[in-house]
Amino acid sequence: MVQEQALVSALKSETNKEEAFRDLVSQYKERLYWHIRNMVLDHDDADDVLQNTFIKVFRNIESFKGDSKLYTWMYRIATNEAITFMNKRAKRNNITIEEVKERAIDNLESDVYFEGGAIELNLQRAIATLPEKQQLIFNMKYFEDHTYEELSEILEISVGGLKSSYHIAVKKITAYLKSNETF
Amino acid sequence: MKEKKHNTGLNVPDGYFDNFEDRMMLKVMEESLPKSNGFKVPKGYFEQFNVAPEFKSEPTPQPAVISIFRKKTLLYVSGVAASLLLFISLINTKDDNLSMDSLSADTVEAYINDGVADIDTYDVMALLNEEDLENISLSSEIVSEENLEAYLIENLDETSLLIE
Repeated sequence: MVQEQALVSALKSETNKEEAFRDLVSQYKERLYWHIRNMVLDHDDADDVLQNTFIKVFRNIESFKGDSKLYTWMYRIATNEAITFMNKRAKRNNITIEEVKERAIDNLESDVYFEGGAIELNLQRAIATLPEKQQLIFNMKYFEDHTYEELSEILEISVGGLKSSYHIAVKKITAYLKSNETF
Repeated sequence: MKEKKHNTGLNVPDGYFDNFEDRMMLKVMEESLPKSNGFKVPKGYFEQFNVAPEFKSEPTPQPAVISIFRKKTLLYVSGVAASLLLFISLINTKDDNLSMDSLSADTVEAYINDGVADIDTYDVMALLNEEDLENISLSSEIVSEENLEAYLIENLDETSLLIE
């Protein structure tokens, strides 16, 4: 926590801002990347969103009051950036955000940066059937290994509510996979 | 970064995270640059923008057409054609008045000596009958003694005489 406060102070200072920012990027690049990638699925899209996320952090660090943890704040920015990215794509192509996700899954089959097989592909299709919030909770718990407490801070949902949502999400996914005979 | 319990199958290009900080710093520097170049145009400039009248109706310049039959070329061609016609007419000209009798002996001799007429002695002999040959041998006017002597002096060398 002391370390985080020192980093935030450095990010807000004029003299050490760039060096502190480099440290921040170094510490969080991978975690934030996988959080974004699980949402947008395509590597190049994830790269764009990740860069936009860090730019937003750099620009808005002055507005960070320290009410929450820095990483919690950054996760929120990353989540919002990914959702905004998909919404913009949906609008540009005149389709729904669900269709954007479906297309992204279809593209995975020929994606050189996807090494999964039919099971992993079907799991993505199953996740895409969930409501947006449940998708986020499932990805962050199942793939990103966050604790319920961390999720509660980031998503501002009670631990009880998260457990319930995650449980429902797992059941739905299992049912989908069984019906598609890949589980 | 600790190993994940579950794998999505998603992957990243090799070395993607290695230089991410540098790319990010460049992006931050880009972001700090002014977003505008500061140029402005007068209000309504593009609505009123028109092409100047002197350029409006100017026809598209056409490439110059060069005739194959230019005056100068025609003159050359007709000159060559006239020369050819003259040459052919000269070759085909037949003078009916020409005969062997009208030619002097000197002319024929010069003609033969110049090698224009490649006439062999045997060919000449074939044209003459016995009577003609007798007349030639009996006639002293054709080759005089003086002529014969001059001929021998000019054409016979000492070696030939010795062989004889």
